[in-house]
Amino acid sequence: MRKRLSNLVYMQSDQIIIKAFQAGSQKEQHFTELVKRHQQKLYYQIKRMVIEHADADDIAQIVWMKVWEKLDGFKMESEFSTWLFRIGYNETINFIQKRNKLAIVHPMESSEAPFQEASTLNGPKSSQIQIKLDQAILQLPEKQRFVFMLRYFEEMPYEKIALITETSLGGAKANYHQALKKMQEIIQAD
Amino acid sequence: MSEQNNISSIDQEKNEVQALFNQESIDQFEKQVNTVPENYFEQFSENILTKIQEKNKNSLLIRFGKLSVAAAILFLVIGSYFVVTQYNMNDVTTIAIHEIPTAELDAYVSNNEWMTDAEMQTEINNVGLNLDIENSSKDSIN
Repeated sequence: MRKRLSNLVYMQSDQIIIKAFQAGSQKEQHFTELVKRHQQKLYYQIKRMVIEHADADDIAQIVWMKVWEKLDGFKMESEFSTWLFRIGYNETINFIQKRNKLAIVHPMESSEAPFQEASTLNGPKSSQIQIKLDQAILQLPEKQRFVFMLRYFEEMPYEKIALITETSLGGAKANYHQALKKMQEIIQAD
Repeated sequence: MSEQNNISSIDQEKNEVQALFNQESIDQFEKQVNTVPENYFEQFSENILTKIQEKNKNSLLIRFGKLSVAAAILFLVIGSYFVVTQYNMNDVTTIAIHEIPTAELDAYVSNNEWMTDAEMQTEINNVGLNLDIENSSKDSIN
């Protein structure tokens, strides 16, 4: 109950900041306020998807620049965080798809990329189970991975996940369970 | 109520994941994700605002550049129009017919007489007149 109330207060204060931004005075100050409130959650979600800090930073910057461009037209029909994560989702998927296309064009350069990512993620002392977890996560299709991360690490309700990934409620649930099933298969295969 | 359902469902789902991988490895994954360069979040908003300002400056320059090119093209078109019309106006001199000397008019008519005949013949053909006297008289006899 308390969590729900604090969420509501947080949401309302987002709206106050956005209205002040849209009113046109001290835009930069209000924008900074929004960035400071949401930057960490967005960055972590992107980084869970792309692993490397430099990539996550690039994507986060693109997302926030888009927010700056489009915030005047934001009608507050959804929560700001939903809208922000939807932009983040689209940009992250675009980035991964471009990277995958590059991997097809230059296979020698990136054929082992997921495994390299997994080892950089864990460090030299990583246990077998940690490497398996990273590899299982990295082998998931992008959408399933995004849904899994939002649900497991951000503890987001499926309704919100569905809005972010532009799927139905059932679709979001199915994506999570397919991700879990696929990870089970990857673990058992080893 | 739905909030409570969500929490209990998340707990259940977390237990499933933790049965698959151990909690330590999941924590390790999240720890790595949460590792960022020093002062990254403190400076992030400033960096973004700097980039936005740069982008705005660049787009202003591009817009100004496009406007300058458009203005230059417009200037060229209007300028060349004025130059051409001015040139034509200087070139054409109007003379009244009584100012032309008679000898010159006679020379013009005699030089172009054959053209007048040809034009006349074309007109006759177009109208379909038959000016053959012999034929017309025969027709009248018959």
